Amino acid sequence: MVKGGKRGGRVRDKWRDKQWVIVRSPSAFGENYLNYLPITIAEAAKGRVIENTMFDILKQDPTQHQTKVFLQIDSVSEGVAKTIFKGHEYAKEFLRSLIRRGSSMINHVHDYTTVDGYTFRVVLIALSQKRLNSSKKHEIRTVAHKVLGEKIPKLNVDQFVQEATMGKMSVDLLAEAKKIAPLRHIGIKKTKLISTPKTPTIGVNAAPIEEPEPIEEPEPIEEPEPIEEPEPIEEPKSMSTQHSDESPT
Amino acid sequence: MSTEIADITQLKWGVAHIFSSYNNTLVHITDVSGAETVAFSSGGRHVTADRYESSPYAAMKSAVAAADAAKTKGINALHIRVRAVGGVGPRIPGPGAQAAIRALARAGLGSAG
Repeated sequence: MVKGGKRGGRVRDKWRDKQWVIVRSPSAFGENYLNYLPITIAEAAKGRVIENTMFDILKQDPTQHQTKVFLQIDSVSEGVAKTIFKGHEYAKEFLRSLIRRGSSMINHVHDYTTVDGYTFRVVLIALSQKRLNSSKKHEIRTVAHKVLGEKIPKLNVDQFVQEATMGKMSVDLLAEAKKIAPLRHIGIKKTKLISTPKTPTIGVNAAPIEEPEPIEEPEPIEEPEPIEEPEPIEEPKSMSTQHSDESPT
Repeated sequence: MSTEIADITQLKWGVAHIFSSYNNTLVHITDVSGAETVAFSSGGRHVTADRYESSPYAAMKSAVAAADAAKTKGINALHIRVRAVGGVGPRIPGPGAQAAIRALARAGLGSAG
C-alpha cells in the first residue's frame, strides 16, 4: 500500500476508502442480493446503472439469459444499495438469432403509463413466418397498440416490470396478433423508463399505490405472484458459483 | 441482513473492459456499474517498443497484471467485454483481445458475456 509518496504525498490509496455495499434487485424482483459494489461516497453512487441478465436476478431458467435488465441505484444506506428498474433489452445474440431472411419484422414503439404514473417506452418486435404485406403489418401494430394500451394502464409498476420482462405480456400479444398472420415471435424487445411520478428518481420504489379504484380488479389476481417469485430465488444461490467455473476457451 | 449475507456466495463481480486496437491493448477492470476502477493495465507498460504494444504477448502481460491487482482488491469473478476501435476504424478487435481474454480466464477469474 502506498502511503503518501516521498514527494508531496499526493499518492494516496483511494481503494482503502471504499466500502463494499450490497446491491439489491428492485421490489418487482424480490429485493434479493445481486452484486457487491465498492463505493466511497454513498451520494455519488446514486444513479449508477448496473446491467444484469434476468438469470442473474432470478436464477431459475437458462432462457432468462436472453433478457438484459438495467437497474439504477436509487438509495444507499447501511451497506445496502436499493435499485429501481431502468429498462430491459433482449440480449444481442438472442435478437440476432430471431432475425432471418424471408420474414418480416414489425416494430412498434410507444410510451405507456402505468396506473401509478411511471411512463415506459415500450419497443415491440414481431417476426412473421413469411413476408407480410404492409397492410397486415399495419394491422399487427394497431392490434399490439390496442392490447398494450388497454393492459398497461391497469398495472402498477412492479406488475408491469414482471409482465414485460418475464414474457407474460407477449402471450397476450400473440393471442391477438396471430389472428392476423402467423408469427414466429412477438414480444417486448426493450423498455425504457421515461419518467416517474416524482421527477427525480429518488424514492420511487417506495412510492405507495394510491387511489386504487380502477386497479381493484386486476390486483387480487396479480398480487400473489410478486410474493411467490422471490422464494425460489433464495435456494439456488449456489448456482452463481457456476459462472466462475466457466471459461470461454 | 447478516444472516442473508452468510448464505450468499461471496462472489464479487467486476467487469473487464478490453479495448483492443491494432496499436495497443488496454485492460481496464471496473466494478459492475463501470463507475469505479479496480485495476488498469495496457500493452505499453510491459514492452519497450511501440510496435509490440498491440502484440498478444503484451496483452497477456497486461491482463495478468490487471487480474492480479484486481484479485488483491477482492474481485473474484469477471464479466468480460471486448471492444474494437469502431466508428470509421476497424470493427474487429485487434490481435491482443484473444490473448487478454485467455489470460484472464487462466488467472482464475471466470467470465460471462
